[in-house]
Amino acid sequence: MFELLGLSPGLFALFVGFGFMVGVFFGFFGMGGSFLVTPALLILGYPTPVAIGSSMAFVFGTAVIATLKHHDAGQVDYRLGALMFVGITVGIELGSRLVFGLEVLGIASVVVGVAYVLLLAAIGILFTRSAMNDEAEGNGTKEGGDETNGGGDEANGGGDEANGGGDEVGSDGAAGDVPDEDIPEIARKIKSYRVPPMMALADGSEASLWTISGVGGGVGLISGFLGVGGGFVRMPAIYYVIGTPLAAAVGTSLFGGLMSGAVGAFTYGRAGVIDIGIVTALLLGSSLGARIGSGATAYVDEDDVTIYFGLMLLAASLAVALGEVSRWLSMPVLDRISFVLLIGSALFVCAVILYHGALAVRERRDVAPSA
Amino acid sequence: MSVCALRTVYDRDAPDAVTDGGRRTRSEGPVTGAELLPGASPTVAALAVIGLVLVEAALLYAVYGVLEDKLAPAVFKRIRRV
Repeated sequence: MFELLGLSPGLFALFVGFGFMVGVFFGFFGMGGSFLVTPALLILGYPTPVAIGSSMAFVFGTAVIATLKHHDAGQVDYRLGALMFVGITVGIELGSRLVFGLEVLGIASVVVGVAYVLLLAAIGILFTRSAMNDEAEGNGTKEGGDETNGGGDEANGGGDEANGGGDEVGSDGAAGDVPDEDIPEIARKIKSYRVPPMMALADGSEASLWTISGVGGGVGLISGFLGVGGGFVRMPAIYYVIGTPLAAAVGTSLFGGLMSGAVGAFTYGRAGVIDIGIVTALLLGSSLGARIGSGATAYVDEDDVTIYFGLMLLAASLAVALGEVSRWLSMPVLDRISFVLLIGSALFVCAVILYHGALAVRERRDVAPSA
Repeated sequence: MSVCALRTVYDRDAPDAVTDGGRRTRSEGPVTGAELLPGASPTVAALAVIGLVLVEAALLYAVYGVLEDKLAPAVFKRIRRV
């Protein structure tokens, strides 16, 4: 039978479609790659190392594309990304050693599974609550919503400014000077503790090297421990702890994903477990999706979508929990429910982003079409 | 367990390692770094995979960029008309 890079045409098309969906998340939120791809590949019957290795290589490729797109919009803080990389690398090493230690005790699988569930749930709740608070604030001051929505509009505003005034920002600039209210309250509080050495960020503000290294190390630890790219931790950590504008947090998180994806792809590539057919098919879809997702940040009010993304993370947490329970109770039906929940919720949020993007384009006729 | 120790799990000589609920999803086995550069060391094969993914990503970025420039105005116009 005719095959494309070792895959049947049907399976190849499935991966292209799935990649598109993941690419939209990656471009829009700066996360959403490996925690969707790896479970999906596992449920499709691929061996664990192949699922993780191919996912890592795919995350690397998608991060390259999405970073290039955010680079064009001036939304990547390369200095911050490079500073974080050191911490991320050390954290990944510590995380993987922790897993091997737990493996010796025979409890690695349970601990990692529970950690995955709790982490996804915690971040899902954080996003959902943040979106609900922003919406409550925005209802009272709709006219001045762009200024008062806290972190909600930075991706949009930053995107527009960067597109229009990219020269002012420079190639490694994120978004120029940003007003204080564009930074979450918790990040402003952390920034107020000025522990030297202080590092200048591309937006003109400063952050302690200790904070940056701590975030990098923490994210790396989680990445190495859970075997994921870590974008769903990295982006919120950059936004809520280091305190960059949301658009810069997304772009910089993607750059971090590019670096950690390269490290992961190299490690698994040496083991010969990266399926190039899977990676190519996923990339074909995700490169289009990431372009649309990145472009959508300049049009879609993130507040309209963030709550759905938070709910999707909660659904993903439930899906992983069901997967774990399925394994403990040997009930394959729960595995299938887990898969449907994971893919269904992701498909729904992807559709919401595209719908709001189309609505925004219709309403903002004065905005240049090239995002 | 070292990742390298898992190499045989996805060996080209063992294509049936990849199945979907007992149904085979492929017939000729996977394409990995080993197929890209037969006989190359694992490090070189891994670098080849990363290089290939990088080239694929850059090409897709460029091709979709050209398509966006050519098609975006028409797509935006159509969306606004709907």
